[in-house]
Amino acid sequence: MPKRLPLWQQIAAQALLTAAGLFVLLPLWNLLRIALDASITSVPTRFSLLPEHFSLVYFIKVWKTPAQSLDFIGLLRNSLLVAGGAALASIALGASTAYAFARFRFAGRRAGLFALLTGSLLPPVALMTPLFILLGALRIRASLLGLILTYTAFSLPFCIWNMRAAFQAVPGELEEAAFLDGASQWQAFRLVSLPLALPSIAVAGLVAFLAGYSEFAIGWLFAETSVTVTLAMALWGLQNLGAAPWPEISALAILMSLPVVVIFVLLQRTLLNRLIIGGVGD
Amino acid sequence: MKALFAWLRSPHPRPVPRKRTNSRQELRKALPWLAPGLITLSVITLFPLLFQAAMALTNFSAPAIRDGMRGGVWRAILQGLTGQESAVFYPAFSGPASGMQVKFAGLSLLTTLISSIGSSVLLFEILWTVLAVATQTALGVGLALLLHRRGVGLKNFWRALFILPWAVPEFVSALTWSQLFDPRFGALTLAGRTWSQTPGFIPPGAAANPNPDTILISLLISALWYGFPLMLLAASAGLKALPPEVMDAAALDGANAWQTGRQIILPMLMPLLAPAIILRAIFAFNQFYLFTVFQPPYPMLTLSAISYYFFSSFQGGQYALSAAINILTVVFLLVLLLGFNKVSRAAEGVTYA
Repeated sequence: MPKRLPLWQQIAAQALLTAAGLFVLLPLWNLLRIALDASITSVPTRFSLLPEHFSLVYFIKVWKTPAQSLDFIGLLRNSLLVAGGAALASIALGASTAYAFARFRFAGRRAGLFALLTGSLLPPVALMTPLFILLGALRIRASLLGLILTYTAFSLPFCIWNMRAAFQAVPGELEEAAFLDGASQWQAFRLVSLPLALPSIAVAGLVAFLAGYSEFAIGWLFAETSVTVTLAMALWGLQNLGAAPWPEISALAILMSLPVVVIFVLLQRTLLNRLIIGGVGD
Repeated sequence: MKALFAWLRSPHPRPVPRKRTNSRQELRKALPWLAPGLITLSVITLFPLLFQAAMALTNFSAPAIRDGMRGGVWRAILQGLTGQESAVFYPAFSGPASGMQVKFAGLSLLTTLISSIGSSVLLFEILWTVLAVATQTALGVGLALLLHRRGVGLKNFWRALFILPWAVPEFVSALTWSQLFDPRFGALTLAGRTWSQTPGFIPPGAAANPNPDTILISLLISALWYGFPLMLLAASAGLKALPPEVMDAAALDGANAWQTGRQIILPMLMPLLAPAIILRAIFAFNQFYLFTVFQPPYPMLTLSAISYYFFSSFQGGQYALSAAINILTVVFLLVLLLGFNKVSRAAEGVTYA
């Protein structure tokens, strides 16, 4: 194969890539164009490539009063509590279980793995219906704790599944060496396997966090007061009630996604290696 | 959820050394380690699923919420199974039951549900899953092949750009696509209206009354945007692992591009691509946020979207119906996973790695 492409092939390839690139940018352009346009008071009525009246006024609006009783920081705090709580709970409660699945060959292991996989592929809605009633009976449905439990219910199987892979990637010989030196199983876990698997465990936690961070539908049904609203729920509120001007919705959507996008861009390489390429080697 | 990417993690399971210890003995050793996760899972996942199955056998609706929260569901099941009460007939989509007490409904809800969505929602689900996965795979693999060619410029730039949708929460991307496709105020409609004043121009998005085809296409495009990066990443990883010698050998033997693609690239990509396709298929089948934001007309919905719809108070809180739909979702997922396990060795490797 020649090192350099013939010019026409290079042009054709770049044209195709540009078309795909425009497709990727289209919704992002739309989001920014609407959010930054102060001339739109409720919905856009004219087409424009760039904002007609460029202004940050809608960003300031959703920073101060994005929802009825909380400012942006208040919503963010709820989001961090709920999503972070669920991610931490999934990691803390699942780590030793994942370790057992990676290290022991016990009776029922295969069935257990299949159940974990099924659990981690269930849509969150599949658990919403019974949890609504059960948490309601316990009178914690509308609290942040109720949301943490709900989000843990659907991120725990996934976290165990992922952490099992992380522990499996730690060579068993390392632990055996520790056993020879007189380490107990607990010491081998805590001093050998856990530190080595930690980066992958952190990634599993991050993914669980992001799932909770952008969940709105269940929270929206479960909440009763405006003080337990998260960012995603507030955004859904703006969209669903239909009264908010489009630039306000877009501005809040951008503010909400920004931290996530920054995390992903910064950790892109790590995430890709840990989550996809993983076993195949880079 | 970009979450389950991890599925792709171990397409080649490392062989597990057979240990001499018997598995019961191992179980005793493993039990204390298993306990925290398994106990939590039983309480917050398994028990709710069981409760959900019980709900699906009743007529539980919002008016009976007090009774249902005080164990009315279990009482109704017990009375029904022991024959103290005969089952009421509660067909699917008949609206919320009005009684203040939960009543045993036997299998009437599940059977009527299956017969009424079998030719509508389920048919759409299959069509949706096939089309969504096909478009996402085609674009993802196509771009991966393009980026894999030697000498194509700006590779790193394009790769970084194409991964961008992966970083945006699905909810936000669904939101902005629904604004783009809005039949009255969306950018496509407005652009069409602007340019339609130029003579000879036919507006593209000017569908004031969107027909099912337009809705399906706009849903597919939105799902494509969010879903193709995963296929691109999986295909890229597979191509990277492809030894260049194999390609050179094929070229020496005089294979043309089609033969190389069909007989070398595709088989070698499959181990990585197959789990990604299965994953995307399950996501498409369960797709929820997109449908909740777009709110397409019935039956252009996924099971999880109609489950949410009938649960919410707009439809009077038909809890039993929602539970029955969720039970169907779980059953389908189990069947799909077992089926994939049988068909594809890649899936087996992933499942039992």
